[in-house]
Amino acid sequence: MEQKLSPNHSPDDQCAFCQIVKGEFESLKIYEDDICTAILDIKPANPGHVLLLPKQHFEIFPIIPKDIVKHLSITAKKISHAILQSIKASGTNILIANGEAAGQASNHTMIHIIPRIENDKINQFILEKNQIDEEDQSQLYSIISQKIQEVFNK
Amino acid sequence: MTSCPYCDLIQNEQFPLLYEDEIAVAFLTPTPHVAGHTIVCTKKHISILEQLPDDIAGHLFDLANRLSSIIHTALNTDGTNILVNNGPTANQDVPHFSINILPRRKNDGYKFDWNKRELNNELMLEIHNRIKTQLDKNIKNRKEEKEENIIIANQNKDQDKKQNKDDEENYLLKQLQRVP
Ligand SMILES: [Zn+2]
Ligand SMILES: [Zn+2]
Repeated sequence: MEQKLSPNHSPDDQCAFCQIVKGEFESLKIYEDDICTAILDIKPANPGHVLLLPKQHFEIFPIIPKDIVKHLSITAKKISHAILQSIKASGTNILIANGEAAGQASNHTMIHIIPRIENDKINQFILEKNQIDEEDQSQLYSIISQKIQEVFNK
Repeated sequence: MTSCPYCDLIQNEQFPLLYEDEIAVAFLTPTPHVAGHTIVCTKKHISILEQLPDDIAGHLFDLANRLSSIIHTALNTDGTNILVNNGPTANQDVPHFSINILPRRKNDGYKFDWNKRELNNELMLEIHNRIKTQLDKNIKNRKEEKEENIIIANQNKDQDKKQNKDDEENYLLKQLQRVP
C-alpha cells in the first residue's frame, strides 16, 4: 500500500507541515506534545476545523506505528470534546484520507477534526446507501475476509 | 438495546462478521456507500466518541487503520478514507459509535470537497483561544484527577502500613505478655 499510494517521496525539509511542526512556519496551534501538533486549518470547512499532525513525517496513516496511532486517536477524541464544549458546534467529523483518490492533498498524513453546526450545508459526509447487489456484497465479503484471516493468523 | 441496528447485527449469529475480538467487531455494512464499506465499532453499545474510554478509542482506531490497509490490498483500490460521523449534526445515522472505512477508486464520483472558508483574523484568533483554553482546562483537570487518585491511593497505602504497624505492635504486645 505504501508504495502505491505515495509515489513521490518528499524529504522533510520540503514539507510545509513539517515546517509548521518545527515552528518554522506560522500557525495557530491549539495543542502540542512530543508526538503530535494540532493547528487550526487556515481554510476551514467550518470555524474550528482542526488538523492533527503527527510530528514525524508519515505519508499515509497505515504506516504509522501502533502506539502513535493510539496516541493520535486519543488526542483527536480530546480535541473533538473541547470543540463541542467551547464553540458553536453539536457534532464533529473525523476524517483521514489515504491516497489522492481519497482526497489526500498533502503528503504529510493528518486527521481532520471538523466541527459541525445544524444546517451548515456540508453534505459530503452523508453516507447514503448506494446500489451494490447482494452477490457483489457476498463476493466482497469472501475476498476481504480471506485477506483478514491471512494477515491476522500469520 | 432493541432500537440499535448495529447491536442487532452484532447479536445476530447469522450475520457474517469480518473481524471480532473481545472489544470490537468489523463488518460490511448492509447499507454500503461504496463497495467494501466497512464498519468498525465496539461490541458494547456506545453512542458517541466522547463516551468511549481512551484505551478503547485507541484500540478501535488502530484496528480501523490496519483493516483499511488490508481492505485496500484485498480489493486493489486506489485509496481509503477513515471517517467518523460523531453526532446527528455530523450525519451520524446509527446511534452506535462507529468508524467507517471507505475503499476509494479514482473517479468514483465521491469527493470530500467542502467549501474552504476564509475567516477574518479576529474570528480565527477567537476560535483558537476558545478551543485551546477549553482543551488546556480539560487536560489540567484530568491531570489533577489522576494526581488526586494517586494521593488517595498513597493515603490508603499509608493507612495499610499503619494498620500493619498496629498489628505488629499488637503482636509484639501479645508476645511480651506471654513472657513470664
Ligand atoms: Zn512532513
Ligand atoms: Zn448499538
